Amino acid sequence: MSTTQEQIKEDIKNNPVILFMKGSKLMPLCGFSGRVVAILNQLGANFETRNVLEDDELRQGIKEYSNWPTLPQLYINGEFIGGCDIVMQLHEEGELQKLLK
Amino acid sequence: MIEESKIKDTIQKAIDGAEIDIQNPRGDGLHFDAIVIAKQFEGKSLMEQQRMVMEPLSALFGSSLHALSLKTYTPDRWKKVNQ
Repeated sequence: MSTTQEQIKEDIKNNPVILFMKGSKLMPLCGFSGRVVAILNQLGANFETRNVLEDDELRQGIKEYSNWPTLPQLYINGEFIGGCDIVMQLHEEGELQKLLK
Repeated sequence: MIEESKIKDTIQKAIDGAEIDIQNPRGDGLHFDAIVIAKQFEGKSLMEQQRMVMEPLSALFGSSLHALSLKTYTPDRWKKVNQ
């Protein structure tokens, strides 16, 4: 396993709620990333973010890690939950809050 | 550029009997919204459901399909959200 994959794995293990996104929590640089940040904030979630725009290896590596081609990617308790569509859908159905508990 | 029907057929072939609605809200043939309702989704997480739809479409991505916003539902779930 390459170093990037090891780092991603560790990062996801050490952070119960972690969002790989374009931009930062305070300044999302993509509408989809921004929407996920807004939902997590609205639910009062305690979450970490990683900016893939600052690290091209991470940007490619996270897609390989999940075998999923798009960003953002939300992980809760080590599990890949999904991107913007899934997060919005879970939020609408009240399921996201349960996952964050 | 791609036709809605091409996306629909590709999903239909992969998930037999699925109910599929494709919209092209900007009218550009590049950005699509899709809703897929299928009994095959039962017992699967939303991520697994999305993979079932996205995998057969992967050959279209990059070439003709630019972005697809996707929502998946089991028939029961669909009934519930539309009550």
